Amino acid sequence: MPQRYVGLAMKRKEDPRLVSGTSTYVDDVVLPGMLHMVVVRSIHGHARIKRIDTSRAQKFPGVVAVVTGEEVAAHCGPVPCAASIPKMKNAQRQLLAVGKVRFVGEPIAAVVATDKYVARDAADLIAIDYEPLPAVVNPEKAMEPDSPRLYDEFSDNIAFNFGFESGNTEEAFKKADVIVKERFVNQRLAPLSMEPRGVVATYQMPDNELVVWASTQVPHLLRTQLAVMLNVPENRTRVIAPEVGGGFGAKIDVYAEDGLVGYLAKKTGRPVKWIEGRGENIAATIHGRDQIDDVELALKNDGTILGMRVKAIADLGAFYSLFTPMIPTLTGLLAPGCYKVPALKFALVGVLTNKMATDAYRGAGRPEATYMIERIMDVAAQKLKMDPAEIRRKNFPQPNEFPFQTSGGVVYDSANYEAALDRALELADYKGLRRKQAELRSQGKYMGIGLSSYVEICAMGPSAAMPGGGWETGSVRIERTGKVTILTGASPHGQGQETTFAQIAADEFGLEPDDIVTIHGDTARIPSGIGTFGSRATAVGGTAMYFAVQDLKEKMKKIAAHLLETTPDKIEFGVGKLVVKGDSGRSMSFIDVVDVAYNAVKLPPGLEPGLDATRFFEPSNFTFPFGTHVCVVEIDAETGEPKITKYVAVDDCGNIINPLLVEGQVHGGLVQGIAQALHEEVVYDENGQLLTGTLMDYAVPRAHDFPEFELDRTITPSPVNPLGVKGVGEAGTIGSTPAVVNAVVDALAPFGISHIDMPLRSEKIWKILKGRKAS
Amino acid sequence: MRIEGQFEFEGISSEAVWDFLTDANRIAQCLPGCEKLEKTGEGTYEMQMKIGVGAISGSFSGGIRLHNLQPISQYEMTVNGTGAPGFVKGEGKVQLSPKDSGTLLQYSGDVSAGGAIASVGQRMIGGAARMVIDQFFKCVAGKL
Repeated sequence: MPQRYVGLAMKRKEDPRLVSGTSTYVDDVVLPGMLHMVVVRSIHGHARIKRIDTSRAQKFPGVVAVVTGEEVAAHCGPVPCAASIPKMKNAQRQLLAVGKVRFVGEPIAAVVATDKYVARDAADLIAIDYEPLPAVVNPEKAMEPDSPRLYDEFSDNIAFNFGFESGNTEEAFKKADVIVKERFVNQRLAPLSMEPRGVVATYQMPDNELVVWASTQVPHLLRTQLAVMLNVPENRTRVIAPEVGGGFGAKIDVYAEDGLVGYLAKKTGRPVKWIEGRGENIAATIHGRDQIDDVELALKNDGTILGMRVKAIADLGAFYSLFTPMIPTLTGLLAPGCYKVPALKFALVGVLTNKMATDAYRGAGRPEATYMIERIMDVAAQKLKMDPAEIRRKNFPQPNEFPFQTSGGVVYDSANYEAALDRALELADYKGLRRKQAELRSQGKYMGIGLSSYVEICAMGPSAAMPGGGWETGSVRIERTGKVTILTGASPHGQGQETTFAQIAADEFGLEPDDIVTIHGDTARIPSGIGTFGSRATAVGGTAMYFAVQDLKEKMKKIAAHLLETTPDKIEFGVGKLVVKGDSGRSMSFIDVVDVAYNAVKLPPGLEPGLDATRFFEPSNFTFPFGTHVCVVEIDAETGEPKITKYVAVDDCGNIINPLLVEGQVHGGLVQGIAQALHEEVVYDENGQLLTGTLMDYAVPRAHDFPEFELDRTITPSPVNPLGVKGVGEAGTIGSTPAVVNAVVDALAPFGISHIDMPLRSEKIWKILKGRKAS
Repeated sequence: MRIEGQFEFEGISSEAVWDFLTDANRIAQCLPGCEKLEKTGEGTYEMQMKIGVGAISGSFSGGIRLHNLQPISQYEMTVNGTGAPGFVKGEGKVQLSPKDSGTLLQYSGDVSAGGAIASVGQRMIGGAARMVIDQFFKCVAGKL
């Protein structure tokens, strides 16, 4: 049957409730007798807690309970970490600090009261006597032997060492005509979803039933973790993720507040709600990036890469959140980027500092890899006096070399890097841009052109590479009226599965997307699942659903074949009906087959009634989307302000279910990636005080910071799943950051600049323009 | 954060300024937001003060210690306060010198803050501190 809906730019089924404000978020959940929790947080980056006096808060009218570290640690497990690296130190923390605090914003006490303002006022009455300790926020200083130590029980702040070597880097560097090296700092970022975190929990005593509403990307994973943490039977625990207003990775984690709300619901016997404030969100929701990469690249004079050495320092913050130690290891997997790098040595050290933990933020370990390879390629091009496009082209593996085993240790599924590069250069009129640049330079104006050819790791992923499993589930049920209900474990937070899954199933069954409803985000309705992250929703969750659809189609073919007196292999699906191949006169309507399945009188012998199937899909590999971005900046010579005047992105995410959603993902990704290049940075002072604690100080970009994006794509289907999709959630973020920095550095090349660390704010550039002469 | 500045007490002797600035009861009269200032020992005072910096305000309790007193020419001061919005700490030096018929007061010091007051108000701490100091000296000059 021809595709009628897959590939169509359908408006999202989700949007009417979102744009009309009728959707339900966690904060919309209001239950009778509900209490409100406020968390008291550390004001020191590093301190011993000498005494906590909660007596005044306890007596405050309206306060129901006040809890501190010892009590909670006696009843609840620590903040969970699912990732493990050989010989790593176990830097876990309790839900509320016990004895010591290690970052500003660390929870110390919690108050529940009948009203959130009462809880807030009572929280101010808790007196905490601290003994401040010297803090360490610079990861390199934290590695020194005389650095303040975060954990008394550890000999130093080095959490782990991780590394590998593929090929012979020593030989590669010996043979090199040219070696380029640079240090790249990937600054700390705040994920900043529009909806902050939030949790509501109820605990029903006789049955020990815990029900939790949480703004999470991973309801099933949260259920398992909460059951373990709070010692509640998992089969009595239900997690509901209602509408989730963005996550960007930060809502994969299981947080102290999730456990506290559950514990306090159990302790008080009443529903408890906690909604994160923006200040708490910046201080105590995981941060992303924060990595220093010393990179060396060995090349031949013609630009051929011979080898690469990376020494990476990952600033993990003060403790491990769910995947903290794993994230920077992904940088190693992707270090070669989309190039043939025959020899690679990657050495990573994870370091503990007095800051909030880092974890997965849109891209998670891969933006760091793409940034360093794409920057060092430009440094090499500058040194070899080659065009940045040509040095890239020279090192691409060719389409017939896929699947391509990389020195990063992964196998790229499929690609045509050159096609995406050529399309991007054509769209941007690259040659014209270079001519214009030369002209402007002669007039003393600074325009730069930046390229970034990226590949990234999506569809996470094979279980062997994923702590806790990398599969996903899909259940499909055809109701008695012929309507189709899809249950997916890939709980969305903006990805639009309700629309894309309906498009896929509509084409498979010969139905309309309106006949299909996708249910998600409730562990009581969805049998099993993992969640949405690592650009996996369609490639892994969608494939599980696709296989469940195939199971039902097979069953329906058996029923139709039985009644049409033929064999199932002779039946095919048409629009609204099942038809005997080559004999369109012999058919049964879809609904008639459904009736037979449920009335269960005319079924073929041995076939069970009903139309309901569940599949677990375990991917055999990741998928590897790719593309080329071209960014053009003009720098204001008076103020140093870089202005993006053109942005072209050609992305290849495999087959496309809905181009509108792909574009939406690319737009959002570009904005976040460009913002890292130009604006965003979480800053702590030397005492561990957070200096960017509000949106006045943390620079979130605005619409006027961006030009109109010019998007196009190439399509190289993935062989890893039957849909041929790769994933697109993070590509924009990963590809864009180096394109922007490359453009700014290119603009400043006449000043002898070969690198500037992000964020590239006007002040930094202005100082360069003032302090040097253009050649 | 470094804070420094000066204030001219026109027609007021260094002796009068010195006496005022080392008398807890009189300081309390001029310190904006001061709710309590009690002498607890030689050169040490306990203090309760309401402070507002930008969107953050609250009651701080803490202490002031005056040390290295060299009467009528200079002294050093250590201030610390803790409250629900965080903490503030300061170390400073005050110098008095005759100027024309009056006194020139010069001050310099370091102020640091923690908690919400740092994350929300860091950019405003310098300005807020200067405003409080200025109000204080104007009040002192008025009373003298």
